[in-house]
Amino acid sequence: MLAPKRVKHRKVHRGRRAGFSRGQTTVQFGEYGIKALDAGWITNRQIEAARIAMTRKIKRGGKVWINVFPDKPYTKKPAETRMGSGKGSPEGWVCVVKPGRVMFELSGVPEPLAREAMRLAGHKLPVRTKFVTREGSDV
Amino acid sequence: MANETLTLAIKPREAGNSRDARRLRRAGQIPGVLYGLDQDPQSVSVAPADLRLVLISGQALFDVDIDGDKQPVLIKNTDRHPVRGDVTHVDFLRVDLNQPIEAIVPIELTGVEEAPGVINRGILDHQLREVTILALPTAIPESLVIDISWMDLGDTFLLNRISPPEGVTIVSEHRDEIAVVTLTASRGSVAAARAEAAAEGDAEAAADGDTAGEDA
Repeated sequence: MLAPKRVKHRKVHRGRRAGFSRGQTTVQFGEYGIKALDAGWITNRQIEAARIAMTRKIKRGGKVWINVFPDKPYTKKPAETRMGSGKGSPEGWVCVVKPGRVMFELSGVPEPLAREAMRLAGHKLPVRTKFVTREGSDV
Repeated sequence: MANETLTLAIKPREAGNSRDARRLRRAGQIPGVLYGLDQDPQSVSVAPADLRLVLISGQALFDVDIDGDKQPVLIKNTDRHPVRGDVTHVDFLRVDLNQPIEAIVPIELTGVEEAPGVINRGILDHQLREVTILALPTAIPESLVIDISWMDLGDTFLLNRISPPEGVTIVSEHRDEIAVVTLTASRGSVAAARAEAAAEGDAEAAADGDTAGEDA
């Protein structure tokens, strides 16, 4: 599962997710991609689930790029705990995704198979997604 | 190069701030700028449908008609909406037809289906999809087409293998080190190759056994 090796701060603020993605909004490495249409936090488990769904569908051949990295720790308070008494303990890792971000890329497979693999991967993610191609982003 | 030169009608506009640009987009126009050849930059606007025709034509060089004054230009840059992909701003570069200029052209592949490496289920990685060339504006090709039908598993197509058309020079310092396409063995193809080799080995062993038996 993706996670940083070491971090400067164990706990960080939640932050805001306004606006659009400022980079990685086009397919850069492969031929096809999956683009986020909503803002959200993608956990490392969701990234792994999406990757597995995609690679299982394409079986052999093809190359997958993961363009997001979960470098933000999120915290959670234990169940049945009263409010207060400080921030909860780190629970996992997420990456902040804003609309327009191409999260996964794929190459070396026919388009119908890539489309289906991306559809399955999209079901593992907490944001609405759309399939994009390198050519499609040009016009 | 396409034979017919397209002409795109553009309108001059007052250079404004981002709010003006937003108002212009709401009015159904795309803001842009025309610059180059040591002349003052000119803020312009263009109709999205006309610009789309130019973009899908794939022509690098075309004319812009600004108040009846035709000038040859290239599209230097386009800004796009991150989600919808609509063009939100366009940069036109004025060019001198007698001066060579640098341009970025795409690299297209042919013979993919015939390549032995692809037939053997290798992973085709098209690593370099665009290359910078130096050519006269009229000689800029729509794309550089390379034939990879000879490529087998483990082969690499380097940039120095590309022979550009006459009058076109590829601008790159490390042409003999930059890979355009690589064909590597996938896990599936390696497993399949091993299985085939094993099957062949078994068959040979069985054949040897048969002949040995016959000899005895």
